[in-house]
Amino acid sequence: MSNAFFIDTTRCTGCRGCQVACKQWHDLPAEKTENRGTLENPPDLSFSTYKLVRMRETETDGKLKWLFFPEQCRHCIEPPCLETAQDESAIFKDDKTGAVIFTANTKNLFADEIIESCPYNIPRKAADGTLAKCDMCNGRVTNGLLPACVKTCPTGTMNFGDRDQMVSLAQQRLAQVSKRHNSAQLVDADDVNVIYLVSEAPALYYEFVMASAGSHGLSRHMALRKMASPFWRALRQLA
Amino acid sequence: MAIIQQLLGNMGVAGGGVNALRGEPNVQGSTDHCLLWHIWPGCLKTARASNTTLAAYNEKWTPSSKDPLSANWWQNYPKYSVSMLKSFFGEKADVANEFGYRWLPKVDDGAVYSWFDIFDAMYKETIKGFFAWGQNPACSGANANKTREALGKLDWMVNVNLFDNETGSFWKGPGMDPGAIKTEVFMLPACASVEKEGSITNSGRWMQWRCRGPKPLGDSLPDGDIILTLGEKIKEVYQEDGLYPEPIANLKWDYATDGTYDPHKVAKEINGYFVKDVTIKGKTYRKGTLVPSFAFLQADGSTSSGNWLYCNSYTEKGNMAARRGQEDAVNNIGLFPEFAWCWPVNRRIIYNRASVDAKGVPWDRKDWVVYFKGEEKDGKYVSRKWIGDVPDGGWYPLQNPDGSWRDDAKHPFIMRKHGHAQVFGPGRADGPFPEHYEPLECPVEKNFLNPQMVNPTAAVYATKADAHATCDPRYPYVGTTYRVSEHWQTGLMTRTQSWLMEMQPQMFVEISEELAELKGIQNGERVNLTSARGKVACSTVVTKRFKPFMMGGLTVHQVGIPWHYGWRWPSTGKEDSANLLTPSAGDPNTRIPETKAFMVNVVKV
Ligand code: SF4
Ligand code: SF4
Repeated sequence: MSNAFFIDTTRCTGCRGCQVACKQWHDLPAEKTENRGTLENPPDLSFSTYKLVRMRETETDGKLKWLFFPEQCRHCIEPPCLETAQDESAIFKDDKTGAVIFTANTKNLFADEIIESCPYNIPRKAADGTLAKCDMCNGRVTNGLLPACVKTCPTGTMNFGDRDQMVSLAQQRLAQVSKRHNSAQLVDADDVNVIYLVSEAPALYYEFVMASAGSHGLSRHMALRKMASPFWRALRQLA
Repeated sequence: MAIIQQLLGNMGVAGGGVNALRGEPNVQGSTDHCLLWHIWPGCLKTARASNTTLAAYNEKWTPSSKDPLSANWWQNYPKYSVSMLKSFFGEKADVANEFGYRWLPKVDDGAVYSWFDIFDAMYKETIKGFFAWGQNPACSGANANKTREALGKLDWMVNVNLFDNETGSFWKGPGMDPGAIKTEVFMLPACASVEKEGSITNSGRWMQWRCRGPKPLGDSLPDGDIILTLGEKIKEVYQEDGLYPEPIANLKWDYATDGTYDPHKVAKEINGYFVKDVTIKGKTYRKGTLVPSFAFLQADGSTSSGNWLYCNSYTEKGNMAARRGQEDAVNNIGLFPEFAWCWPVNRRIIYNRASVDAKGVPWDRKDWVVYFKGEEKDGKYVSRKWIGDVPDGGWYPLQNPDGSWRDDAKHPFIMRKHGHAQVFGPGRADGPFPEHYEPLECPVEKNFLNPQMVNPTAAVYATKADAHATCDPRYPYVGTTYRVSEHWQTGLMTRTQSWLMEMQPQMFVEISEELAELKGIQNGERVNLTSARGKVACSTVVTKRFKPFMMGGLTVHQVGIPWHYGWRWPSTGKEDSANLLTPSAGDPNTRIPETKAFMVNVVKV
């Protein structure tokens, strides 16, 4: 049984403790930023930003909502990035924890292809093409510690543990939250090890909250998995 | 708030009271130990000029009640004031010199010496020297331009801080001509809180001992060491040729161990000790023994205690604040009586006898605080026993189980003269009840709730730098200030931190979509915010969280700014303090500045 996160966005205050804790644990440099007319910063995930709290304002039923979405890698159960890479030395899954890990060897992959394959638009590349993203703090987790972002979160938004425990916690909270919010839902819970609870329509939080839907009636997720198969890969390389 | 809580009976109960949200973890501790001008340690009154002798002082501030059921705890005032003087002056304090009372400075009757008044006096050149100790007034106080000008009129300033800041470097700040400024500035580098040992007291009055983590960096020192060394030096100078050396030369100043500041010695001094062998209720306490609690303090000079409220915090049993017991009390309401220590006498909820009825039975049977469990015989209580929290006085309840009234009981509000809660004054500068007044600067010409426009007793100042503009078309929008979670106070500890600057890099102003449209301002655009007192450049954040509102038939726009920035960091020098805009006007009782409502304009650059 793998580990999983349960991220209860209904409890998030947007304090961004998690965002800094992630940088601190991984010793990632700060980016040079400006205030762009929003409190959300830096502007996007990057090679040195694995976690980013998205902030959106929306008015539904005449009520103002300020929605926070602590974005990170979903550690997919069947990761399209891994399937696309087909290179265990660059992208692999730690079967004990469920963490999907990018190594320095990602430099040898087609970075854009890997980025494209992610239904949640997570991986980011360095100038030399090396890819990076959230690593589930696997080093901490395999040593019995909580991921840095979970440890830091003061509100109970960020939870981490055995997958069954997280799933049942998620379902309990969903039942509670649904009483007050018609649109409450768990996002892609069967496919990922980072289960988000949202109380509004996912698209209101951020573009890539749900696995993105593609054209041709297939979900983009499925299309990408198909594209990532060795056959399609060979075909594309020929073309 | 206090009135509402009282009317609801929310005093002394679990989850009751009024809980202040403080800007610092140790606000309670620093005010307990005399950070403010109007009180000495332990809420004793600062002596007025008219309190010419110790006897007159004690007489003036010791209340008396004719109600035999009033504990009137402040009747013990002289025990606490004399013990405090003994702590200040040690063996030098005796009956003949009124325990050193005559050496203490007195404040003029009717005068006020709060923040605004200090900077006003500096601006008027009555104050010549200034210690900015762990603070950054060039950014933190309302009307910062006045403050910055005032700093330029000093002869000297000592800036004790972790980093250089807008205060220490005011002379090279925006709009300053360094050549024209005479102020000599000394920087004393202090270490951070985690680099020193000592205690903090939170808003729940829990005194918590903290060990030192890493060693201080470079030449930086704990402020205990800084003040100790300074004190030693000043004593030396006064002893040589001081004009009036007694107050300084006679100060007891023995808080070092092996040449460095010893926080345990200070903590014991605050708790207090017997200065000679004393026998109380048949028990003899030897000279030098730490006083077990303030009930043992004396007015005859036989005890010393730096702060009677903290008496019981560091006793012969050890440092109570360093305790880390994890067990809750019998009532299981989260008191954790052996985790740290709480003043007074480890009572976690004050006025807790207000949580029981006249017979000592809690109003709230589930989350009760104290419960009288004395023995009962023929409908009368015959022994005293309270369980739960440390009761606010262990007297019998007011009534026996049979409903008869006892004459050996006390009313629960023991710090009030007559033992009862008070819904209104006396004592407030602006009358017994709160009233709604418009801010000093406001968008409407009339107070819609009463005929008096602004508080007639508000603290306002009259220098050239104290401009105000109400209902003035040049400043048509309401401005307010607040904090963000990424920065702390004036930002000195956070503006130097790259991960936090990544998230909140620049001073910003939040405005409504409606105002943005009205002014043709794009989201993210740099604008100037102006008030009658100054100008600050801001990045615009257009947000749905601000909306215009109607007031007296007028559409009013409000804008909001955080207060954490300053020109010293980030190094662009382009971000500055919200307080360049805010007015130097304050509440008549506390001088809390009116930084939450003032008038501004938003100007495109
Ligand atoms: S699990 Fe670790 S790497 Fe992933 S977002 Fe949290 S702190 Fe960052
Ligand atoms: S630490 Fe928790 S509450 Fe703060 S932003 Fe992250 S998820 Fe939200």
